[in-house]
Amino acid sequence: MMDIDQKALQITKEKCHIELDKMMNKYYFRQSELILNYLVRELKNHFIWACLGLVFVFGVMFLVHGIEIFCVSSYFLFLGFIALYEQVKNRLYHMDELLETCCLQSGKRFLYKTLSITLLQLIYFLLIYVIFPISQYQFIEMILYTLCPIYISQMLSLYFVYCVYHIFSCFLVYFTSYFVVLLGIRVFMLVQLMTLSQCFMIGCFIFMIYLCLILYLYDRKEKLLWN
Amino acid sequence: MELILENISKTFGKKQAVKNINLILKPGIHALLGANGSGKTTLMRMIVGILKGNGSIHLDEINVLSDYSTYASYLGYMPQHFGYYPDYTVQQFLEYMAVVKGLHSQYSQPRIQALIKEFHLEEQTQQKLKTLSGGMLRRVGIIQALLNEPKLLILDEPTVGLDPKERMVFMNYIVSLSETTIVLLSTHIVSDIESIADDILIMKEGEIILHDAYDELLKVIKRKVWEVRLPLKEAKELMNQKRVVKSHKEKNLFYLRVVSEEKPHQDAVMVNPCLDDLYLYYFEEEVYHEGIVSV
Repeated sequence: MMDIDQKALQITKEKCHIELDKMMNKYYFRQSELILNYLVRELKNHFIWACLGLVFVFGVMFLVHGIEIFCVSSYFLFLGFIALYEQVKNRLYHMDELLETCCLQSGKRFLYKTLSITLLQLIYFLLIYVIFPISQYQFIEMILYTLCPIYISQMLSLYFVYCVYHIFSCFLVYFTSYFVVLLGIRVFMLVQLMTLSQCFMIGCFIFMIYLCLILYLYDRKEKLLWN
Repeated sequence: MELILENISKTFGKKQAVKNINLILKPGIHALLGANGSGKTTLMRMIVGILKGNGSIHLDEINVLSDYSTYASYLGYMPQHFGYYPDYTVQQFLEYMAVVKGLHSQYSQPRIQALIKEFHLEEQTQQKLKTLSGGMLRRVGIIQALLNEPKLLILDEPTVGLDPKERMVFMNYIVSLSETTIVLLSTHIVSDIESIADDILIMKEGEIILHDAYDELLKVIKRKVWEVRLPLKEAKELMNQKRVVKSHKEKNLFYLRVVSEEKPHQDAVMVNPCLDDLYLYYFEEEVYHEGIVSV
């Protein structure tokens, strides 16, 4: 039988508890708390700009009638632009190398940030819909002129962020694709051709592809090293 | 804790930037010395886990690739080119870094305040980063690396842009960590490390050619360092023939410090070597190429 010094064992146990308490106080115990804290810091400015834009759009829509779709479409163009800025700002300010060595790595940061921005964009869309009661035709118009171009152009630009070195070419891709989609909807008169359910299905389809792309890019970023 | 590097190598295209490095680092200050392009930054990037190459890197049992979150929780890193958000204040930036490092505000707030005080940035906490001087930014960079009380601290040229007083504060702080932390720092400023480094690693063309304590390293050039004062013509001749570490004008003569196997001139006097001499001994071509020595 081994002779264990009970007093020493007790001291070891207490020291282990002290060390454990220190570690628990040092790091976020709940992952959700960490993510929330991160998103608040990361998206604070994005949120402020988006809200200011929304107030501005509401103001214009109340004052000038007949340009609702133009206002909302421009607002979503702006939303996509500030979202893209959030995605490229680390590269713009050479923060990648530093942030890559932190616990919250680029893949996770990208996932949380992009999903939150996407959710916020949906909320802004619903807010506009709730505050401005519109007809079925206008609703189709709104989906086609806001959600479709923003998700398609974000998809393309997000993909380009990781293929093209020059950041400004991503912004160019974003604006170009946004206008091309808008133009396509106008030229082919999709608003007239579609029923609400068809429009809704197309919207959901694009949204699902967008989510898949986010997950694909997340996976790539998780595995990617600077080679 | 121990940092173990086994058969580390890295190739960019046809160029082998790091060649088969095997190393064990224990708590203490380890200085990485080498000319530009010798592979220091590549090696450091591999150690912090952002560059993948061949071989394996462990911090005790923690593998850099397979368990990065745990590895990162022990890691503090300051890159050579320190990026920052220009519109963030010092306080905001450090709080942001603390969150990204997964640190709880209960822990990070007092830690940030203590480090700000330690590095004399109390008056700049509410200033935007874009308004700070190069030295102040460097100090912010050092503080962010220290936020999580790292057990492995990697600093790539940390003293660039710091004035002598700031360098002293930084070095004193690093010395105070060396009991419990593995500090690996690269520098061009040889005088920064000769008094504080527990051991020095000299890197050339992707290989660690020397790794030893300061005194042991100097044995390589013991009885090979000379001082001599000569007129201009003779000084120029000697500079063409020998490795001159230092030179300056003293009245009508030129003072030269020479590294040479044999006595370089009849008036030359043998002196004790220093790390600068050793550096020149191994990086003669680079030093001349960079134009450090001139008359």
